[in-house]
Amino acid sequence: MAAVNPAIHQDTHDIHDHKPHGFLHRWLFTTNHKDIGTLYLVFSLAMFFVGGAFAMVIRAELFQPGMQLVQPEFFNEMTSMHGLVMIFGAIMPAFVGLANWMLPMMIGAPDMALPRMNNWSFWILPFAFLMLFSTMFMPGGGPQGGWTMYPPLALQGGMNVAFSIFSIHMMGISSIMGAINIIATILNMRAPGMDLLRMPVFVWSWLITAFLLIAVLPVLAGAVTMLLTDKYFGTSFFNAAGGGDPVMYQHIFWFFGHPEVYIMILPAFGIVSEVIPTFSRKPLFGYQAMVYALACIAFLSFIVWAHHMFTVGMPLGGNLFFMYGTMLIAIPTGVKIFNWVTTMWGGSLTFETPMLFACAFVILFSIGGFSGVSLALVPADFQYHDTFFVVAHFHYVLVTGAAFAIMAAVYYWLPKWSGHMYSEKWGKVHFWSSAISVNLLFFPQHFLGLAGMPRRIADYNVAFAEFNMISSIGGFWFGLTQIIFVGVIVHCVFFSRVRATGQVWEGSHGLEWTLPSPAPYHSFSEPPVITAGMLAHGDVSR
Amino acid sequence: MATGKHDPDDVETRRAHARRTAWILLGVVVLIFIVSIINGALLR
Amino acid sequence: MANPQPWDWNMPKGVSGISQRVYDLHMLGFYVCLGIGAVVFTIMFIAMFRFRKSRGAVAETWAHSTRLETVWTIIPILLLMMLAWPATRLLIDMNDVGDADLTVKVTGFQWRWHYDYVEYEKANTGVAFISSLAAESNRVRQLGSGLDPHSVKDEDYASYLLDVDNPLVLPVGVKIRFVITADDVNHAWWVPTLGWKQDAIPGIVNDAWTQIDEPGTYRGQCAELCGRDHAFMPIVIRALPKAEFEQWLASRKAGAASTAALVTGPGHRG
Repeated sequence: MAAVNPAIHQDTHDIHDHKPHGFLHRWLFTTNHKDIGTLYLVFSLAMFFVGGAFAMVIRAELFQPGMQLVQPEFFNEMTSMHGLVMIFGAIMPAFVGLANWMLPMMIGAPDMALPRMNNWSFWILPFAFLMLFSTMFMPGGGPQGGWTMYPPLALQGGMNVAFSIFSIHMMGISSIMGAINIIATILNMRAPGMDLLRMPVFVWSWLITAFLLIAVLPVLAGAVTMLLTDKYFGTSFFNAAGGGDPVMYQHIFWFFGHPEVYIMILPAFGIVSEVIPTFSRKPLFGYQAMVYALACIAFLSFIVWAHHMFTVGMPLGGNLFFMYGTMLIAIPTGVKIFNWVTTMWGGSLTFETPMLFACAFVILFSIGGFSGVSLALVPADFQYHDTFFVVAHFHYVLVTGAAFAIMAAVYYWLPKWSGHMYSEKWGKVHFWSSAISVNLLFFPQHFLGLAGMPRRIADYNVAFAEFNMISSIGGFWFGLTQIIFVGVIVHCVFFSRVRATGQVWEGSHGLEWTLPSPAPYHSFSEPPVITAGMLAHGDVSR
Repeated sequence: MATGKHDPDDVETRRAHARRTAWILLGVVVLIFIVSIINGALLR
Repeated sequence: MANPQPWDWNMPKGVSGISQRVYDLHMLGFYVCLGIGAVVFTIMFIAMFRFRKSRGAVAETWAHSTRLETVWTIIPILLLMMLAWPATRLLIDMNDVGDADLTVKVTGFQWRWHYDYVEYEKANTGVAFISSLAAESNRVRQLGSGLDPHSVKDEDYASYLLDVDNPLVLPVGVKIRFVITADDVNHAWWVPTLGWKQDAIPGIVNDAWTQIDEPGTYRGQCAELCGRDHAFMPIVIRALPKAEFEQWLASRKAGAASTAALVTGPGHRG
């Protein structure tokens, strides 16, 4: 760090690389945002493989018509657990891990605002998931009512109901604490000169996402608490026999669930908005429009929840309102897509692995967006709803959207974290293998759904055999490909001999790139003095 | 949130502001949780 | 073909005026998306080839254009309005369940459908029965049965998991109103050739309507996760010309009178 704030008299050499000693002491008790970020990322990678293993069981059973491998109740357990693990275990912790690592470095803060709570919010997670997985070994097995846990079906479960609800409470508490920490950090810990409208888009995306988390996770907690009291304490929130309303649960759940979808995609937008300008060597097109589009999408996410339930029998006016609201989301999302493409136009492009993932994100996420527009049309949704068309839609958005963005982010920042370059060759192998197999996996699912195959079925008519087999082959291929991902990361962190420079990428701008690579254990202990040209957005002339 | 701008505050002052932000947000969380359950009880 | 065939990749046009309009709306949405996708991806690919650093491209520095951003905010609004208009009209028509000549009450329960011909031409029919997965499909679908799903046939159609013991017999050319509910957990009643599905929810009575244009056998299944045998509660409609339907109904009525105790079905509510 070249610039030392004269107001603070401190020996900078003293705080350099002051890691705690001992493996347990370091990782269990750490309050360092970089360590906690690493913990989150490693955890989410592990969960990505666990949830992926569940998906492999699903695809193996659906490989051919007829029941070959598992009983239908176990199949239902796999679909439910796959959803819960991928959403709460893989995607969300990965984004929180990226936030922990990058936000303080991007805004010039020494650490997260509340480091001890940060430790707590991570260490709740492994226990929450242990509790969730333990249900699979209980009498009656794990949850089988889908990740949405609709009553009355979900309440037919045995012991797993209480355990899975408590584990969801714990995951919610973890995420809420993480979100509070992120907001407190971004609002209070920015370096002088890092005005709100000069923040990197990734920081903006996380600020908005954190507000979404704060607003909707308590609603999920409320919904599952009501399930719990319905099951064990004789209340009738959702029990029709007792005067309750099963549809009420769906409304409450999706009031959480729809913003949750954006919680899983807004940080991905942020990542792509960092990666594309870097490898285009050109500033992000329409920075302010990008920020306003994020805010606009976040606002709209609160008024479109019932598009997940067009078939429950809402009144005409309700269906129309939610159809129009949903269609509106296409406008700010379109602005984002067009702005990314325009950022590339007139640039000087190179296609390192992060850029490849970001470009694939723009194309494949758009395809998910197109099926989303179709799904918004209520009469057409009466056909699409609860079919494989929907499965294809949200996997395009979440796998080739969120997961691809996370992979782009890992390749993008890994040299900054580890101090070494990953193998570009194997990164590209990972990308191409993923990009081809994921389309083989999910594209035929559009056809299956349109032809009439419902989702969440363990077995199907022979007419659906061909596309299911193609999809399964793509699934196994995509699953195996992710081992390359682990290989590239392990090689980069432990074995790579190619040292990364501070700036890492020729076109990178922003405070995190002014630090050496690997980023020192304690960075920006004094706020950096921001000079002209340092930031990616907005100029500092003061 | 005003403290983010060009102020000479040291890190500890910022952290104190951050803690206050966090407590306010925690209050919001608890409030939303309660409202969601009241909503489940009244609107069914 | 009305029922799923191997390599089917698009929505069936169906056998009612409504299902045809649903199909048309689906295709309109598809073409609009295809058009946008073609333009955006073409521009993106041109950018990816033309502005490569390896081809000597030098980055420009502009990063804003209010005019461009206004243009691509307004064009999607116009396209969306083009989609919203037919969707709204169709939805209003689908919602109009009045003036039906036949009312069928559909009750889902784990894992069967109960059909009750509540009213035909303003008269109570007293016909009701349970429809469950056909025995042959049920035998083949057991884990490790070793039987080939392709061998299950119904009228030359490979009907594995899409066949039942008692199909729902309906008249052609008659407006039919369905009232749909459930007894235990949520289900959804879906026959793709009718163009819609409707959730069956305990304590709630939903309605929907259709008017089938052609006689035939139309197959569908439960579309809302309802537990262990969710995959094994199919729906089969046998659509008959009006006269044949009335004959069938009369014979069922006669049968029902003698075996009234057998057809009461599951307990009813709401």
